[in-house]
Amino acid sequence: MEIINIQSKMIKPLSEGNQRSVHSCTFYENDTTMCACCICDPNTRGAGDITATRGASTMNDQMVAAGSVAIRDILSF
Amino acid sequence: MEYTEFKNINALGFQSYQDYYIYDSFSNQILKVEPIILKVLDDSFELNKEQVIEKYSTSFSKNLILSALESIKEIQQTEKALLSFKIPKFSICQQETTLDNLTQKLNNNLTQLILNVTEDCNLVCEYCVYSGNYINRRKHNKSNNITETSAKKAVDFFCSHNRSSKDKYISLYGGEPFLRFQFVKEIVEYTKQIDPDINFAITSNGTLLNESIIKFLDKNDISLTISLDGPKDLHDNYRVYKNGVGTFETVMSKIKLIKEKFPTFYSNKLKINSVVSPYNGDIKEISHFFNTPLFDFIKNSPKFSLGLINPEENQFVKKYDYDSYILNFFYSMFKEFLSSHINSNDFKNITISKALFVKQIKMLYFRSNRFLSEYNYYWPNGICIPGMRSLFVSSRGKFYPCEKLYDYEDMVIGDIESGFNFSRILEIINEYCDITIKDCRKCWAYRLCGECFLNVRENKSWDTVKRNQFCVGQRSMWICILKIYTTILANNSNAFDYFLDEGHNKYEYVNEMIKQ
Repeated sequence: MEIINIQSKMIKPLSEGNQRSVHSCTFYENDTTMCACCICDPNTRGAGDITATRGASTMNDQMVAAGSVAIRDILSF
Repeated sequence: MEYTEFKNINALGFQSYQDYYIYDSFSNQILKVEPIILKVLDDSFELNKEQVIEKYSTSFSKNLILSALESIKEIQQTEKALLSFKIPKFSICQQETTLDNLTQKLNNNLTQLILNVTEDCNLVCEYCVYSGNYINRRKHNKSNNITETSAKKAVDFFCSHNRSSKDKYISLYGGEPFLRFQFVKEIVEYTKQIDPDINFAITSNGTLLNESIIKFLDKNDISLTISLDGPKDLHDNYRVYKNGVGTFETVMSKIKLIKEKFPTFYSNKLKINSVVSPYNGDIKEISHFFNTPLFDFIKNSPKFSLGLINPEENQFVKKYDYDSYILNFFYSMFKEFLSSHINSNDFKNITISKALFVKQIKMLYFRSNRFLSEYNYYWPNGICIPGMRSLFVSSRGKFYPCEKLYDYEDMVIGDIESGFNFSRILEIINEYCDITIKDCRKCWAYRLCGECFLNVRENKSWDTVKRNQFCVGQRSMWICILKIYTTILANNSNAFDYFLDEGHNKYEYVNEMIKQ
């Protein structure tokens, strides 16, 4: 019994709100992947601002650390 | 421990404050786990029980290790999570990608045409990708204006290749499109005669707008994106006329004019785009600026978007130490976004951080529940079918997959005289699939990845060094987003329920559109 109790706490799906499982949706024909550009906002898209297209490339381990520090700073208050 | 990229399964382990999680690509689930799980998970695929116990005997008790291994086994059986899986190959359709299925899609399903109205601009913004500060990028010039005849041919081509599309857009791109307002009028009126359902969108620096132009945009229901970077001293540092004078006062006066005289257009058709550029003042001042009463971004009317400077090697990034600024900027925005979602559910004053993160957060929130093994084929990351989503027509009438690939002469996919070069398009897709599958087939970020041709193509070939840089960036971004997402939900489990009120239908709609 002790083992079962430990197991139940060791891995569990994150609770993501009341509605997520009902409303999860699909992209592309087979929903395996997500979009690369402005398709999420089809009703307002213009031609993209090309200065602003490669945000992800600016991310690195330093950015991951910045995210962690921000989390710590918010939660430690 | 910041994160662990497992080698035996498509999953990421990460710590978020005091909790530990695994994002599992196979099941697309996020699991909250005990730290020992992150230690033994990879070994559970390679070693037997006794070997795992021996390996970790100095760190954990035998009972704890056994429980961890049992927990992994149980979640594999009950939730089908944490299973090893290799994507066999990439494809854009169920059967082998062939000329036939590609031709069928490109002949009927185009959704957006982008016309390069002019390559000229009345501003000289230092960070602009067409400023001349970038390697291998064209510079603004007066000589490349698409002719009216060519533009009309492009419109004819678009209209005859979008019969199955529900949502059809023509975007007028530049340079500054309003340098050729008469041309813009002519093309809009010509198109409306052929297909009144086609929507138009224009991206502009805003300086040339006047009441007559706005009236025309309003009358024809044209979406307008205006660039505005923030407070005067920030905006005027970068967005300047050729004589060096800032454009802030002019742009603000045009936005005020739209709001006062065309309030419906202001609410429904206007979008403000702000480029994140180094600011000497307090970053909070930028937030305050965009949260002033002139704008009403919280109601999404007008809309707001944010862009980052293209990090390709360029003089601007070096001159301003952009990377350091971006690090501070993101830190500030992480805090703003977290605080509003954890502590208050008050989203009135988070215009910028919301624009920065909400798209990715929504991608997580609305992600599919299906297992990777259920699919009949695997879409190649974030690529489009070249030409189908954003067909870009250059001033010389050549076709490109999108405006971002203009300057890549090897990515020409046809022209207005002869139409699509289907075999070249097939070649581009197949080459991309072949070159990327090896690294992607076991990548934990596959189902989140936004990589497209742009991130791999350079100097007329597939550049794996460039690609690796992008991959690192993508994965780092998703680690950040997963940390933010789990932290918020751990402290406020219904924090994102408001997404359902503000546009879930849009996502369903996108899905329908793509399915065509």
